[in-house]
Amino acid sequence: MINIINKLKKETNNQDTIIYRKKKILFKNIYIIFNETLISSDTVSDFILRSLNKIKVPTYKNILNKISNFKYKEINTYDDVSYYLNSGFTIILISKDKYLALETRKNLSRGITTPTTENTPRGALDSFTENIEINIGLIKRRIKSNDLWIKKYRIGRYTDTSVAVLYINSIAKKEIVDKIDKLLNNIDIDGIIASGILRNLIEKENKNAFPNTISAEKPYTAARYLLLGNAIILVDNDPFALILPATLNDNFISEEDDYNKSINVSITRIIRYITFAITLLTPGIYIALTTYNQEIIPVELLISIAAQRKNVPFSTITECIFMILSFEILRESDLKLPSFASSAISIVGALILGEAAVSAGIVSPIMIIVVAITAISSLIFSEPEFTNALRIYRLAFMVGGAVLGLYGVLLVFIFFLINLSSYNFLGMPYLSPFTPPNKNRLKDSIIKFPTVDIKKRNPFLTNNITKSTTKKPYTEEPYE
Amino acid sequence: MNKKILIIIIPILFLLTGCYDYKELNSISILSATEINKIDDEFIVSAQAVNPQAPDKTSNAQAPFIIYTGRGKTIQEAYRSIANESSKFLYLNHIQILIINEKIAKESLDEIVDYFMRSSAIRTEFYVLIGRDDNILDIITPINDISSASIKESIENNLKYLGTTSDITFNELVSIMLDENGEIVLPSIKLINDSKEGENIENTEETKVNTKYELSNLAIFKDDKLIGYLNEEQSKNYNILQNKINNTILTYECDKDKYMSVEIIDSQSSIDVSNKKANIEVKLSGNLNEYNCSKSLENKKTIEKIEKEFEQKLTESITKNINEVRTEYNSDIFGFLDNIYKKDYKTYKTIKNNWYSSNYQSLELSVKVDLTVIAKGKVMEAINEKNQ
Repeated sequence: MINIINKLKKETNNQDTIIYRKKKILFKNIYIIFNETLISSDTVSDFILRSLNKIKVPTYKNILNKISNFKYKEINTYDDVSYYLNSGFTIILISKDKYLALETRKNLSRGITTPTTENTPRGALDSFTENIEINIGLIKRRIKSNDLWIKKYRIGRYTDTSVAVLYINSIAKKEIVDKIDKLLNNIDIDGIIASGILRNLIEKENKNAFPNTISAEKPYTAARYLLLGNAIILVDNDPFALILPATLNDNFISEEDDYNKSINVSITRIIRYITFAITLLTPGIYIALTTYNQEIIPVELLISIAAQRKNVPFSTITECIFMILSFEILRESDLKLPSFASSAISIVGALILGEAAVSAGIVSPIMIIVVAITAISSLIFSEPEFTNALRIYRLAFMVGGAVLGLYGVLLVFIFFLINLSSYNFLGMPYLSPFTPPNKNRLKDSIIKFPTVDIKKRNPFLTNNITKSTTKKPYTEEPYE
Repeated sequence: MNKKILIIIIPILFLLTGCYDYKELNSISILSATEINKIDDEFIVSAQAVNPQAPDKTSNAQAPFIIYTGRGKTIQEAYRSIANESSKFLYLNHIQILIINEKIAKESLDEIVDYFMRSSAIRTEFYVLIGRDDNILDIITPINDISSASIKESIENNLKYLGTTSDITFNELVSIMLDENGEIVLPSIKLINDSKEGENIENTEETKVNTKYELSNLAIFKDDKLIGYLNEEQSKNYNILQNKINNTILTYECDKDKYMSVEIIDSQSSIDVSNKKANIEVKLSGNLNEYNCSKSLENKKTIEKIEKEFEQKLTESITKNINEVRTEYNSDIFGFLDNIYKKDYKTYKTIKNNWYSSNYQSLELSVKVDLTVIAKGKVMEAINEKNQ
């Protein structure tokens, strides 16, 4: 026992945050060790010390019986001692090879709050916190089945972060779970302090700028994907769950869709896809049309554009890059600034980028419209990584348009499609269900069919295809 | 291996592109219309270049368009000579109308068609008109500043509500020219009160615009040469026979000095030539819009009678017009020969050589008109009749 204490003292440079208490019961010394920054002193004094006082004979069995902490671990190695000590447990060294770790954790996490990044008008308002146990609980509350399996990992040489993989055993494909298991076991890194780091480690990071995982802030989203066969990775101290593998189509689905009728959802989805096309292609096509393919523009519009561009000294591509750069700077500064300063930013942005730049003759009004519609359209996606990825492709389209006109835009578009369709993550093609086409999953893509009709899951995610066998609600007799 | 192929293919994709012509909007001058004339063996082209102006800058407004004129032995040379007076590249791709002066049309359209067909940078979907005066594009028109846009809309408007003109695009013109049976019919345009003031912006400052253009009647060709113009009645009947009428008004005298009008809302006609006889069937339906005659419309028979009268008068008119065209111009603008060509190739071969010398002239006509009055309005009899 003394060995362990000495080793610990040596390894921790005898920090005074670690408290060692010696207690003598019936000629026998037992040691109580805890880290005061992690434990709740009330719990330690109320439950452990008080219970220990009542003990007459300090055997392991006696102590275990008397102590009223419900969560405990029997341990017997030095490594465990140090891990549990650093996790907020109180360690009682009873005999040479019998130690007891009792959970006395201080509540260091904030409570469950409303989501800040995924706003929907309706829907559950709880969001993940920094505490992995609470997070698992939030999901478990939604999926009560024993089939919700949880695999825990400890990753990070220094951080020793808990990482949990959740999946529904009878739905999720075993290969996917095994692959995730392999990927996680392969990781050897100083620390995982954010789910993003973990994501970048398991994804082929730069093959596809679009994210192959979705980071969900809401347990609702996590539960939704679990039921479809996806796996969820939770990282301790990070309020975002990783959903994997994700497809392009997943970025167009919102929690709000579950609350609306399928016909209305279909219109919303179509708008989202149009928006996607707008934000990707508008600057590129505008540049192509105004510098190469003027014959396509109706003559009245062409004259009006020509009138606006008359006094602009820059080429269209320069003008466009300048405006898009300005917007990106604005967005970046808006993200970094506290919310009270963002109104100042918007005034400066609107005035400088809008009014002043036009009246100074640096940019044409039509370019402001083009960039504005592009910028607004790029902001409808809740996954920030998706919005970021759009920038690269947008730039590619712009360059294509500026170098070869509409032909160039088309070329870039072909490369874009090849890139997206050739990519898959954990066996899931990125463009599923469009290619390879899947009749059943197409019912929940651009067009959403009535919920009773969506009966199948994606075969890339699961071998357990049938999702529901709900019959159609009975048809009423016609009113006479 | 795959990578090697890619390395070869990708540069090819970029190198083998068709028209690589980067031009910023600031560097081009958009032409909206062009007019071609010929004086003393030299082509004179006028190009109407739009002068783009920001909509809100009303102070010291410039002319809405600039007319550049060039001359040369060929049309291309004439256009290029404009570079001497223009600061920007003339962009012909957006021209909406082409006005060919009748002097050229009387000689030949070949040079013009050749130039516009050969030039790869020109879209051929513009309207072609015959200009009966010189420098028609120079005038400034009210409401729509740019005269070519105004003319284009006038053509479309006329076809929608009156039907005395024609919207032949350059493509159609070429296909008629290449068709050995077809004869060209083009709309024509002329100026009213042609004067220097028409080129000034003040021209549009009065309510009665002094100098203006007017769509004139159809110009007809024989062997690709202009030979004359139809009158209004002939133009309308020609359009009825060619199925080009969307909506028009037919007016007839019912009593002495009393007229009535029928608005034709649907018109279908067919020509069938067989056994040296042209069967022409016209089916019209329309609304009685104006009625100043004595007979009350309460009786259903009256309407039938009116229909009959109408049919008879239109039959006479069509027959008369065809005969006029035959005797006066001897040009098969109605497409009788083409009809034979499509239906009876054997007969076509035998008669094609002496079509104009004998067969066309001796062609019997049988015109059948069927008119249905759909609505007659809420007034049963003419107002003046009731007051008496």
